[in-house]
Amino acid sequence: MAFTSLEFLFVFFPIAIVGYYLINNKLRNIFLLLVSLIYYAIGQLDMLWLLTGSVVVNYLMGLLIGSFENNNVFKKILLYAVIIFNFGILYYYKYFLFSIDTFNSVFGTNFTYAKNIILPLGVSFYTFRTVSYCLDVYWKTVKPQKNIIDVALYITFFPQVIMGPISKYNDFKSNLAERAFDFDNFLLGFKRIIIGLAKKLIIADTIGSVVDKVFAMETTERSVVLAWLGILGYIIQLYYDFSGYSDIAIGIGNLIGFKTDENFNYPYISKTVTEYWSRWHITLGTWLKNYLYTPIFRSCMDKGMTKFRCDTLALLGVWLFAGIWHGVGWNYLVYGLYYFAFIVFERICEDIKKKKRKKMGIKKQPKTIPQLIRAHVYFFVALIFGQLLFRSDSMTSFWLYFGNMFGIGAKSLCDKVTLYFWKQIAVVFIVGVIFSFPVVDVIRQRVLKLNGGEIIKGVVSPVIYGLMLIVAISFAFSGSYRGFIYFQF
Amino acid sequence: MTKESVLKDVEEIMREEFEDDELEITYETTAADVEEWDSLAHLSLIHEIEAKFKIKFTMGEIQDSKNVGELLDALLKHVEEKK
Repeated sequence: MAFTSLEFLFVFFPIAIVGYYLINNKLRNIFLLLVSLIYYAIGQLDMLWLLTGSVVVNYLMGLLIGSFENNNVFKKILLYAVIIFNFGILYYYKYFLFSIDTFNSVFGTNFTYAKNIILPLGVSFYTFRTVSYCLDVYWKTVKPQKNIIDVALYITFFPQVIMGPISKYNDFKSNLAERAFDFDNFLLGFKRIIIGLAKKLIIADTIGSVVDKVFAMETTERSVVLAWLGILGYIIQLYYDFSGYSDIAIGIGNLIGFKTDENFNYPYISKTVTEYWSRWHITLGTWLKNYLYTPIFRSCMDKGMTKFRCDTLALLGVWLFAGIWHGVGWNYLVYGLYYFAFIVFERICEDIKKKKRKKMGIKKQPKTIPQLIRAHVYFFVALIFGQLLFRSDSMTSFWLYFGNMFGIGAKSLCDKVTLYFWKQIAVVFIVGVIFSFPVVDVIRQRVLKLNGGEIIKGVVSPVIYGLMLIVAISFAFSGSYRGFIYFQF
Repeated sequence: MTKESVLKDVEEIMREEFEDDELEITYETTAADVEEWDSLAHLSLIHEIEAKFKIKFTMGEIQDSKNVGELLDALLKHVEEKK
């Protein structure tokens, strides 16, 4: 049940919020856990056992791990066991069939697996939570939790269980104590939900309807301009789809007094690929930094390797993992390595510049306008082909599409179909481009500086949010709903 | 060994790490106050401090120290434990 579906918006969501505020303060966490389990069961009842089983196993393992002193071998064995358990589940449901296919094609064997494996909802995301909880207990960043309700709510919390944001237990824990009602926070929550609905239903789904058609076309049917429109449209769609989801998740959290980590910070204004990944899917980046990059880097440094080598190895570990995590297929592995290569390249360039500055005795200067333009263009070109890898079904389809973008195998430079598709999405596309930059923040600041700015904001803001809500809901009713892209991961 | 003297030592390490001879830090200084202080520089800095004081920070201290003051508290705690 996606956040933008009618059953969620008009049945589940109102019942959950009203029920939450009607119930006694002390029972609210139990109520939220029940609501979260019901939410999951509505989405995929036959996989609820796996989610609840994971909760119980990780809760018990947390207690066990926490009962040992530092550097105990048994403690380490337990940690490895629970990590293998959590990632084992992810591997089986997500990659097992792909592994068999790959094995067959490499060794010419003909193994089959009779069972049809269906990916459990949110398994890619809640695995991050279970692993992070156990590692934090192992590292003593978190005390093992005696109350299973707290651990269960952390793993199953309905606004975050399917697609994140991926919070750490310590951050989530601060929400578990009694939450006082705060009207400003409540109002903020509603605003975030409206923004999320508008992003997803008006922009992402409209553009997505064309993007899907463009990518589904035969190579020989696509014009060059259409190929570019398709991938640029996808870049806009993906941002509005995923950040829209995160806005709704954060907004629901606000309504019930939960603070949730931000997941996006205008990623498309980046000047480097490194900067982009600090602005895109921020909670995934933080997880990878805390639980993969840091341990690899530190263990390499302890072995006496150079800083550069430690950094490169840690980044390689992170990007191999991130690539494989994002999806099943070789293109996802290449996708990870692609960004790894750019980030290492940027690290090397930065090191060279640093050494040069040191040699010449000068400080880092702000970028000039031509340098800024060059940096943005470099980043965006890197992004286009990275996201094409992400959108492609396979490496073959990537190369065919890539060829189309430069006229190879394309139908023509531009044709009637291209113009037809462009007319369908032109307005939304342009709006999408504009609002992927922080224009709202700039306008808000300018208005507030005016005489009577607060009054203007007080009048205009509700009108804009009201309009956004009406249009978004009308889109929801129009039945053109498309699933969230990250649901499949 | 006082917090004040450790602050000076750490400032020296930071100047070297961030290649800024004029860098001045206080207990309230955070990564956001120093442009070069990204996650790689943070880990490298941690490594240099550990090497100088012959201690080992925990993962929690590395990840959750909110400013220089908190990092120094952790550092002094480890130095104390070693005695």
